[in-house]
Amino acid sequence: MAMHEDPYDDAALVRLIAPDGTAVGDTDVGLKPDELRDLLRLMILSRRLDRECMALQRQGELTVYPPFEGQEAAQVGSAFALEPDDFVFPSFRELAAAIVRGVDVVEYLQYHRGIWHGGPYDPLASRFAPICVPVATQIVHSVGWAMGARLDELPVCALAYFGDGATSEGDFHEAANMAAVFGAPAILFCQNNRWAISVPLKEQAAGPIHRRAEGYGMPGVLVDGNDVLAVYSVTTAAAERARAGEGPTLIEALTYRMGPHSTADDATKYRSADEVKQWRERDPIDRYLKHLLTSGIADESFVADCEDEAKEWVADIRAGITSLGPPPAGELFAFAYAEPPEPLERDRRSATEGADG
Amino acid sequence: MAERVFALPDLGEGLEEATVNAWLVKEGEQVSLNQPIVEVETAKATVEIPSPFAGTIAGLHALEGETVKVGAPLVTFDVEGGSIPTEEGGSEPVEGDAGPAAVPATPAVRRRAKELGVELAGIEGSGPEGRITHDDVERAAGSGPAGPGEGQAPHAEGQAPPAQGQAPPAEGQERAGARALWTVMMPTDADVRPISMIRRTIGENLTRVVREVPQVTTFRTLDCTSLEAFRREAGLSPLPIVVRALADICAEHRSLNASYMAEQGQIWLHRRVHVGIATDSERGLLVPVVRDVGDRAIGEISAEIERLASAARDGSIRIEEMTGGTITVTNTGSYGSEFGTPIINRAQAAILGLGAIAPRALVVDGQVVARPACTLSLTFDHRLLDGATAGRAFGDLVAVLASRDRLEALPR
Amino acid sequence: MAEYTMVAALNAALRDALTKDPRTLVFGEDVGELGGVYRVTEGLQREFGTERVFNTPIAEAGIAGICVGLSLAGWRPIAEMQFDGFSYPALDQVISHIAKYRNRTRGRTAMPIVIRIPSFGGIRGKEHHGESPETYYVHTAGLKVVVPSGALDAYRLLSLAIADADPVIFLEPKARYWAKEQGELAVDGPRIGRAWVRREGDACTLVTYGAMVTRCLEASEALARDGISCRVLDLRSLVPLDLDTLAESVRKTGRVVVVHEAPRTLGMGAEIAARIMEEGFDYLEAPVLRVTGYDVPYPPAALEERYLPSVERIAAAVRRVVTY
Repeated sequence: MAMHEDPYDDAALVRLIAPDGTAVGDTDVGLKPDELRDLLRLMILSRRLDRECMALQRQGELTVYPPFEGQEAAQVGSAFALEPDDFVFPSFRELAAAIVRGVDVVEYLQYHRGIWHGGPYDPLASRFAPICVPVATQIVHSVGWAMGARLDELPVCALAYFGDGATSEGDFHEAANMAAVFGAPAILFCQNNRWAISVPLKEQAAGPIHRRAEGYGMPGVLVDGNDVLAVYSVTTAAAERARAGEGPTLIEALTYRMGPHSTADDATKYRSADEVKQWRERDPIDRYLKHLLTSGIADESFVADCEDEAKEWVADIRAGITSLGPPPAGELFAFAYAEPPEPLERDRRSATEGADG
Repeated sequence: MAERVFALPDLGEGLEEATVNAWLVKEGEQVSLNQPIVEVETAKATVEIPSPFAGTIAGLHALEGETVKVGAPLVTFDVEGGSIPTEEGGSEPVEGDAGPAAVPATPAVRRRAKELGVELAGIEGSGPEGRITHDDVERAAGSGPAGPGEGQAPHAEGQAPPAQGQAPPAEGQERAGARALWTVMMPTDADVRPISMIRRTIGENLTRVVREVPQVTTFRTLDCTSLEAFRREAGLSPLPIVVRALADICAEHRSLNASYMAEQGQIWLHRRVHVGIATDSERGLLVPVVRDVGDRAIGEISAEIERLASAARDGSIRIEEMTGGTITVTNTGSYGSEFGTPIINRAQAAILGLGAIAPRALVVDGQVVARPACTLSLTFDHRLLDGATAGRAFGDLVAVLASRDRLEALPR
Repeated sequence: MAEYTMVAALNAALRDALTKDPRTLVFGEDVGELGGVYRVTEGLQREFGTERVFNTPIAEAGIAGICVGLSLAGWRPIAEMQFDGFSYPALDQVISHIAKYRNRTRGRTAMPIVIRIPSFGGIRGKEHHGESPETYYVHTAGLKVVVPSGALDAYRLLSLAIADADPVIFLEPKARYWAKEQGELAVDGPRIGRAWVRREGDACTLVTYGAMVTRCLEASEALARDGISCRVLDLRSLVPLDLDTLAESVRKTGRVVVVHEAPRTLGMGAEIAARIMEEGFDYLEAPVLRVTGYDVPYPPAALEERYLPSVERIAAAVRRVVTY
């Protein structure tokens, strides 16, 4: 396809449910009705939380928050496809994926409250790595983990989330290349949300991201990132490949960052209201909701229940996060080393015991 | 119901302020959680702030168009439930160290000098560029003032004696002999206390003043009959009266209220009189300053002296209250001293000592009579004043304090 | 009596680690069949297989980054950066992640990683083959930095580094790779964090590490002939620094000269001078001097010996402090 045309119209795009909610592919993706409903529920909960986090930041309770509204299907659909023992390597916008993976949200949000880098959740127990801000560096970690898992012959896979902007970084290239060379069971999941802060896709990459996969020697998949079933489907396939020892897959999920890059950004300065409106018509929750209602898998009362649950759940999270203060000063030193060097120990003693150094 | 104040948060990573574009609520209005309450404009964007509480708007703290600083109160709410106590952070005081004098000697030589109780300032260095060497210090120890020697240090109660063997081995029989002599002369049975920071600082300051300033003390006897009568009537103690009278004397005899700035080659005649009052405290001698004495009445001065003394005693006195004095008064009579030779305060020209007021035998009109009297001691910087000028000033002061009329004329 | 080059000693340490701990992995560019451009990994792939000893593509950031993932998956990576000058692309992964991961996860994850880097000059190498990058790593909290000076201690230090739960940057002085030492390879001995007094003396302490240890010993021999007896202290680890031995050296000798190849400004000499001032100010008979490389890019082979601290420059510095 020609450069700079809207990849959303690409024929290679995997899509099962059109933006208007009608099925355009085989929507039997191997999920049971309650699982299909759960996908909607998770998207509703995530969006409600995302909006609450924006409010919390405006109220001074969070320092900075990067919203993911619009990307619910891309994250929920992919995270839902993973098994408990798989490992997710997020960037900094994957709160929805974290919710699906069962990460404690109040712990996750402590990153955004400035209490602890990475939030205090246990990454090994959650199978969810700490929030990673240096762009694309987490992709290399996912490949390393996948290589390690493969050495142990475990039937697991790693999934790294990153955006369109990350594909410009050297680490993306090195990770993709290594993943293919070593046959690592990794899913490189790009949420192409069209914007890297204020830099649009056409200034970021001249060629289609998913087609780079061929250059590396692995399959590349283009999927409608706002179609939760399609996302679920392609991710499941990639996970199966990985587990079967067939190596990595690059998935490019087309979606849209409905909000600003973060609460410190004003997106109205660089993009048009028309564009945002256009993507509102492609909303992931709206279309999936329509699909479930028309197919009779869910009804209005289910949706109402989800919204009630979301309201209560979010209120609990608000209460939890707003009650937290700074950690004890001694934690400044506690975790830097397994065996702290003596000069550091001296500083720690004098800092925490009040004696002069 | 409890009041909660919502301050303007930092909306965008390091912003300092925001301007209120429009209030979306009114005072008295009931609002729900997250209901938009105000639109503000920051350097980066226009932002709607959602209500952090459900409750009633008790107060809006900015007008539309007004710029508010981050952290300043924006809205007060009346909410259900109690208020959360705020945390107060404390800052830790940082103690500074008094710097050593600028004498060229390596750290090891300084340590040795300290061990031997030798003052580096008095030694001429025989090392390169006038540096003081180990030999210089050892030599000085043989002829300098007594200090603790090595070997036998006094033992403290419950404290280990200072570590032995810190000094390098003796070089030469002669030096060893001299050291041994001082060791023998030094008593070794003592309770050891560390020198506190404040005592060390006071000591260093006094030593320096004594070393640098040629100071002389002159004495006058004051017949306190008038003073005593005046003060009893006025309900005051002698000290504030003396301080006030001194201020007028300083206005006339300006070299009494001056500084001899040797390095600059200047004499500074201070325009205002700020009197330091030597005050005893638990920590040691402090000298709080009563400012602009010449503009104040005796009553005011008395109250101020009280306040400063109290602050000095309870430790709440601030550094600013102890600096900037141009002359000092020390009320040594308060602990019974008849007269003394007070030491000038750094950068001042004089210090006045007020001795105890007690009955004495004075000669008045050829008769020996019992009168309340005291001795005033005036120490002055002989570089600034000589005997005559000091004497004239002193005489004028005594004249005021001895005269009922002159005392009455002082602003009360 | 056995004799070892540093290369052989390092090779033995890797072999022993791969044998003792089935979770260790060795990887990097050319470390497989070739055995590394300096042969430090020679024979290891043959013995332990391609799963545990393997080549990587030319991707230094990738090499360092997969160490993070492998650690999370429970492995103990021993990665090689081919040369000091090529370790820089990996700095982001090392500084942003390897050094910080434990802290970021409140001690729930460990980065038991060793990154071996053939380093320093003195081999008349091409550009980028003589760098002293130690300060970047020393200044990055969360890392340990170890520098062997000879074969036998290299075996010990590498073995200890591999067993260390913290990430260790292991800088190997290429100029010493082929120097032989007689003795037995043993892990027993001073731990990481302990400096080693290589030569005893009381007039002055020479504080140094890596290839400069030998030059300091040579300088000490020359000075001894003039009656100046030097203590030579081999730091062995730059993080942790052995403050106790530094303090004891100042108390004993009163004079310190720090020697390193790295450029003067903000080299280890600056740190050690500050520490000595803090630990032993009262015992200094002279200022702490530093004999170092200059603040210029590492020179070509033709000028290398003018740049590196020579035995003469070292001895001259000692004489200055001794006659201060």
